[in-house]
Amino acid sequence: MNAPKELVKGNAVLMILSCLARESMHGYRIARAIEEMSDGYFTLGEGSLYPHLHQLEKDQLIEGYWDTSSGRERKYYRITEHGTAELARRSEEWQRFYSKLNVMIGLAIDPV
Amino acid sequence: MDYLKRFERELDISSVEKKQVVKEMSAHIEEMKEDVMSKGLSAEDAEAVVARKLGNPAKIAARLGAIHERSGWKSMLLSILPFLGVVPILMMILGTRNKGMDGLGTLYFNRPLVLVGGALVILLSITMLVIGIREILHNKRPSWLASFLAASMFLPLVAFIKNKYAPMALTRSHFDYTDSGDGFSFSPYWHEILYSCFYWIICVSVLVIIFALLRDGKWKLLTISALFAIALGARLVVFNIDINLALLSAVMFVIAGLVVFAKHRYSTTSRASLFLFVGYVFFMIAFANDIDPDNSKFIVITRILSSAVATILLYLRAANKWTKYMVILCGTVIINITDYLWKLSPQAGQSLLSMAVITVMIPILFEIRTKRSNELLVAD
Repeated sequence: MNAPKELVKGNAVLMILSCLARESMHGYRIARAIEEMSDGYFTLGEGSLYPHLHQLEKDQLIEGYWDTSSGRERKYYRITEHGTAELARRSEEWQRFYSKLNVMIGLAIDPV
Repeated sequence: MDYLKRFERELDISSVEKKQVVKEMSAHIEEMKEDVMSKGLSAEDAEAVVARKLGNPAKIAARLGAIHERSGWKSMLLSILPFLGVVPILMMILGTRNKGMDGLGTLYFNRPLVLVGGALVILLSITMLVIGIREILHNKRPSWLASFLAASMFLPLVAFIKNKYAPMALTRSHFDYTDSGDGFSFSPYWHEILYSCFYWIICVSVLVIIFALLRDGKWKLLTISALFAIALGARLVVFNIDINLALLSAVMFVIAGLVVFAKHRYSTTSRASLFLFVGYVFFMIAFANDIDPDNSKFIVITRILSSAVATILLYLRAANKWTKYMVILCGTVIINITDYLWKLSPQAGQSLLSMAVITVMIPILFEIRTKRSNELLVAD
């Protein structure tokens, strides 16, 4: 079963930054890492990956560089300091959102 | 058509950035394909899977185009600037035609409105030249140039509508100097002012365009050839040899249009066509009136419209690959020959034009059909 597309779309930045916080990756690897890390639950549309990456690069949250060490010329991305701070901010926001939503759902299922 | 090629065609960003984005996308597609093929699929099937997984290339290209957009508020401001140019032009017209202003003096330099208006037009042109060259040096395409060219085209059209001899002014001395006793006085008419402004703006636009062309490896040879042709034309004029300057100008105009809209997406085709249409109509009016002033307006306009339609169709046909741009240059020459033939024998001209339109239309219709089918396949 896959996560709803809208939820994945809305949190794509958080997913990409989370991947890049672990190591530098190229676009294709990021798409695969998102799938692997979520046991296939998150599938980011590969076409929408590059607009996200380029926007993040433009916002200086990640930076791209070309590398040929693997024998093929690829553009790798690494997270910047701003990106790390943004990841922390977004994670915190998500945790808060998640806990509040859980409370609301809990109240709806089991009203006091 | 190949997915990457379609993506590349739709991507409307600076050539340097485009190269990088396409290279990145190409690596992604290759890796995806290898992955899919390792599961036992053929290369063809793998390509279809990749295309489906990636989604509509036009949409991705549009999103990337928006991110890499070169135009911001500066470009928007620059696009509006030529229309603000109406103010100095009006100042110049008022300074020369309004009787109330005659009291300001009869000599050119004693007319403050003309002087200030003229200075503003020159300032506008120089600003455009500097900004244009700066943008090109930073690998940005001066997208605002189109509105400058459109505005400059508007000026002689207005002059022509108000003065039926106006196109003659294109090949004649514009200003009538008369000796008023206390030296030479200057009596410009307002349509001549419009022409002067047109020349300023068009000359500067052409300079920016030539600069852009010379920096682009693909266009360098063509530009050098065009410049050589112009230099040759100028030389012939110096030696009083009659040459068809209208044709030369039309070719330059087409080159300008191509540069401004080069590597366009489908969404800008209509703008490109409109640009070529307006320009071509203008040149044909000037051309027809200079050579054939007795021709009835109906015949002239019908011929102009037919030729303009053929130009647009040629552009649409040739808009996908830069090699096809050469078709447009040839097309301009063919249309001029058709026009000449039309004058000699309307039947021969009409037949030739109809043949050209049909030849161009069939592949366009076929291409549109193929494109729609491909899109439906991807959407499925």
